[in-house]
Amino acid sequence: MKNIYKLLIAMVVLVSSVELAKAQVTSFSNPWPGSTHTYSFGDNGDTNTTEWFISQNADGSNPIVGDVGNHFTLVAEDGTGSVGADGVLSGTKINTLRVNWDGTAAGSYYVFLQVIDAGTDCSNLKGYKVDVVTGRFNAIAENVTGGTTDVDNPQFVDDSKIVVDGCSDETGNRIVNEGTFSLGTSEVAFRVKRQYSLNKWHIDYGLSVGSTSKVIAEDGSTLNVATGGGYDIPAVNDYVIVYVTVPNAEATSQAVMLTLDGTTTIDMTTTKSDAASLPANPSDNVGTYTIKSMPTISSTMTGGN
Amino acid sequence: MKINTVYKTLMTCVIIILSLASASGQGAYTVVLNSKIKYEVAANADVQTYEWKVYTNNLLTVEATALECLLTPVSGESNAISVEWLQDGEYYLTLYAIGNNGCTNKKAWKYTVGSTPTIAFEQLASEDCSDDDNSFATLIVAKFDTDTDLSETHYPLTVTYRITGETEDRTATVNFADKLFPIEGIIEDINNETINQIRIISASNKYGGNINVLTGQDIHTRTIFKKPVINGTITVN
Repeated sequence: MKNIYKLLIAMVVLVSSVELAKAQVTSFSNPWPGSTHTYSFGDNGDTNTTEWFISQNADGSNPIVGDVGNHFTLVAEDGTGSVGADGVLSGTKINTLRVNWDGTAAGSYYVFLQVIDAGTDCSNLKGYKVDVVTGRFNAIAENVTGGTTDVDNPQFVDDSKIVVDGCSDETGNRIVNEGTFSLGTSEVAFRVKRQYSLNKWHIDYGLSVGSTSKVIAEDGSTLNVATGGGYDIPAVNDYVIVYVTVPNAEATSQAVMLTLDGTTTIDMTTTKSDAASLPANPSDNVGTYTIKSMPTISSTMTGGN
Repeated sequence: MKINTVYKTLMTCVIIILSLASASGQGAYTVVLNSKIKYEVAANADVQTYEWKVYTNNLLTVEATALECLLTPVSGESNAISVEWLQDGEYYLTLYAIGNNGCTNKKAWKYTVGSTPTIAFEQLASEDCSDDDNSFATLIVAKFDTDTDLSETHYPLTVTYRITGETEDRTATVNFADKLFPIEGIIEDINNETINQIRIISASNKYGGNINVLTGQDIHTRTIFKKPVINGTITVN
């Protein structure tokens, strides 16, 4: 076999797509941990052998067996195939490689394709440099009250309807002399979303007032409190909606704030915390909604009672 | 003077019976049918608008009709409303307060409107010696229904009565504190025993609501004994 080790850092013919439409910031050249991207150099013929591998070396030496090292996994575009002990995904007509950057990959990698001509046994090698986003994790808290209008799908938010403040909800038993009187509660909603990672993640937070009524993940599932507190969020979810119940009060406005704990809010795979992210982003850890003051009505009705 | 049995009763009647409504704030407030009552809450400068409604259900969704009650604004007092209760039933007087910031508060009070209230003499007979005093007082019993005393809010009661033999009715006022029905016009004769029959003609509460006179307990007989005759002449040494 004629080995032609011409290393080309191909920037022209590489075609890639972002498989997860929601991961709009992650990219094939700068993937976030946990993301999935495809890589292709085009059509390599029907009979030629295609060999894909990833190395941390620009010359393609010492391919990494990704899943063994928990860096990533390689499969064909259709999800078939697996790497051998040498870290190479080999076959015919594997024109597109899918890389699941679902491990602890960090730093720079080179995605290589070696094509071996079926007739001449000659080979060619091309590579593409990928810089995995490393050392970063950010969770963002924001108020979405008013935007969660779909009662059947509490994970959905209509961002155009979000408001920063509003009156208290008209709930509770407002009858002074029948049953247990109550001014009721108001519902406030916050969205906590992630950046720089698509791994399973964990959030912890505090509330200035009120209590959490439910936490709904992007996929519609209801999350339970994790052992030790906070919520573990499956990797598929880019955000969760935290619903907060706030007791109504007369003659006072209430600033409802959700504040993320930067230390314990983490990427559960890389263990990178929000606070330890480089750079850290503490300014986006607080979401605020203000319940405006409700005028007092005396419970004492004079005349005839 | 012979001790009046009425006052004997009064001595033992020191326990003030509080109505269920006024005692704890729990349970519906009672209203005598046809009462016209001004209701009011403390005014609040943070309130821009008050809105009053009466509902017939505790979800506060079904408004009472004009046949059930009439709401009349009180001039210059938006924190007050005048309600004339026209039909028996359970109602929820509801107040919406819209603040200067546009936010609304709401509270409601439950009322039971009834045509069941009654008034009666507690005792149907009493007696006294002739003493040149043609008045006396006796206790009445006023109830909202068979199980509930008429609460303090309904007092004073106005009671119209007539003494047998007279041609015109008399009017008296009964207060909550002692519930004594003061009666005037008793005929006394130091030489003859006289029997006066006092009959309650009608009664109404503080708000003009009608209180039914309980048949069979609407007449009180007051006997005035004559003075004993002292015969002979006094001998002075």
